[in-house]
Amino acid sequence: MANPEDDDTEKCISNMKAFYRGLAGNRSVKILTLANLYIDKYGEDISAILLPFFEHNNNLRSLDLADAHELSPKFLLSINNKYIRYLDIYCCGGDDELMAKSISTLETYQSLRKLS
Amino acid sequence: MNNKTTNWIVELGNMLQTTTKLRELILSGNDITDEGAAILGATLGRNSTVKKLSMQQIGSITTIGMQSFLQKFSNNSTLEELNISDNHLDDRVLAELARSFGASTNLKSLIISSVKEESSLNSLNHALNQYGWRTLLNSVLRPDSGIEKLDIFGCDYINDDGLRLLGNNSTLKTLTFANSRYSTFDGWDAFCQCLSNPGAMLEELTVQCLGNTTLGMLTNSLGNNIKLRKLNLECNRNISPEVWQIFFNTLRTSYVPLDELYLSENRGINDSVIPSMANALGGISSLSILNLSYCTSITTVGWMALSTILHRPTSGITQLILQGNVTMEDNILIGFANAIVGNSRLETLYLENYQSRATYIGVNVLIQVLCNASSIESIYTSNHTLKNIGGRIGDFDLSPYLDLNKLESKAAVVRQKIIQYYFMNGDKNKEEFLDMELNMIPHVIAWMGMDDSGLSLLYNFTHSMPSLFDSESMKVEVRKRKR
Repeated sequence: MANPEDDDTEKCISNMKAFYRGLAGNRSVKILTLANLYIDKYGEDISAILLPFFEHNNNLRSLDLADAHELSPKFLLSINNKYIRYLDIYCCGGDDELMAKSISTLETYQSLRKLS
Repeated sequence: MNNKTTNWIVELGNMLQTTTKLRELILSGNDITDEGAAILGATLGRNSTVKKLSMQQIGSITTIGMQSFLQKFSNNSTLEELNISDNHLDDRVLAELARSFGASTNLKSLIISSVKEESSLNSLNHALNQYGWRTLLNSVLRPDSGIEKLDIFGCDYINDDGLRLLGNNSTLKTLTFANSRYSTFDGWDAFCQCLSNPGAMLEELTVQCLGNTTLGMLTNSLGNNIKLRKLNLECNRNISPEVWQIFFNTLRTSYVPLDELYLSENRGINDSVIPSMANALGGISSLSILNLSYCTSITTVGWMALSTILHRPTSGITQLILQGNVTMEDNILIGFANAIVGNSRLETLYLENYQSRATYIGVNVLIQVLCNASSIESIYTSNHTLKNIGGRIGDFDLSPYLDLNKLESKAAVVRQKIIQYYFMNGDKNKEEFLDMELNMIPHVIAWMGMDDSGLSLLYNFTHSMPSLFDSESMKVEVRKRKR
């Protein structure tokens, strides 16, 4: 018999991915908080699902990626919108080189007012 | 950002040279090395946009690294707010901080609380650190500095000279510090005289480690103070109930315009203090927040006496925070429930609800105060202000009532309560409409159909009064009239 807790977890993951798929198509969200993102073994999946959002949403002004771990650099590198004003990348993972590369992209964020 | 090596700091430094709008940089909690701190200091020294910098809790920077950071940073003349709390500092770092900002007139806020002090020479630990703090205070509190906020909580070396400097400063609006063994009556006398001066600027004061004498002196100065809005006297555990009584008796006759009063974790505040507290605070109409969390000497008798504050028409309290005190019992719950009848200001009554002993009897009294569903008029006069009681009371969840009170318009709150709890969404009390004047009915129907929440009532209403909507009978009526 299946463990009910496992069923709940699977359902949560499925719901989470469905939500991110919906979000990926959004181009109007201005403020997004993905802090304490539940990644576990699904990092690659989440990253692939959400990349279109970061590539194409030009209305984003505030992005909170605190504790988004290794996903933060990937998202930062994929952002094409240079009008972000508030950025929180506290406790994001990745090695020093990857972080350096991500932070080098911030030079083009000429609207950035708060960096955490 | 969180990474121990320095390449990302180099890139951050590059970004700081080109940015034109970055105002706030928060690097707290990162693993920054001494080398990284030096790079950061140099680039921030050349930056002219960042006004607010937080470098709290960066344990990986040693005192040498912090000195280096400050030396290189000293060219900066833009920064207005600096937070370097929870770091390794010693007297040399404090002296460097004093030197770096000695000439700055832009620095408005300096937070260096919870310092992990280190001595450069162990045998001279206290003397050297006292020297460091004195140098820093002399620098940031000099007459032309413009400093408005200073948090030096955790500094154990405030002596009489330090107290005089703090008191005499004419720009400081927010001050947080702890009393120390190096201060005497003379220093406190000087500080308190400044505070009682009509020209005193201080608006927010947090002070800990007070004794009976020092709180007594502070109390006297409050008698004449007309500026202080926020007073935080948390964790002053050595003060006797008698001195607290004097404190509140003085507040009662003073003109101090307090908005917020924090008195958590004071064992000296017991039942004998509460009457004078209630008498004083119930009369300060400006007081909005009162925090008495973890005042464990207060018993049920005291809490019942405290609840009378909320009866007072002059009470302006919107948040009463009583976390961590007594186990919630029916009589306390009933006492506070009765106290908020007719109170239209209290929004948060944060009670200790863990291990609650309250039963349905107590909870029901509170429910009746929030929504007495016995008649439309009694719902109208219920409490529509209380929004938060700090969670469930044992197994009882009052959030349906409290959440309704969060609606912006009080008319909307009353409407929702009448629909949901008097008409039970149309399942009860429909006879209210039978004797109603016919010309009122369209208004009632419009009131019901204002939004989705009234639609069930509207549906049940139309079912129970078919004659109102029977077009054939209306035609007969019209024909009769024509003849």
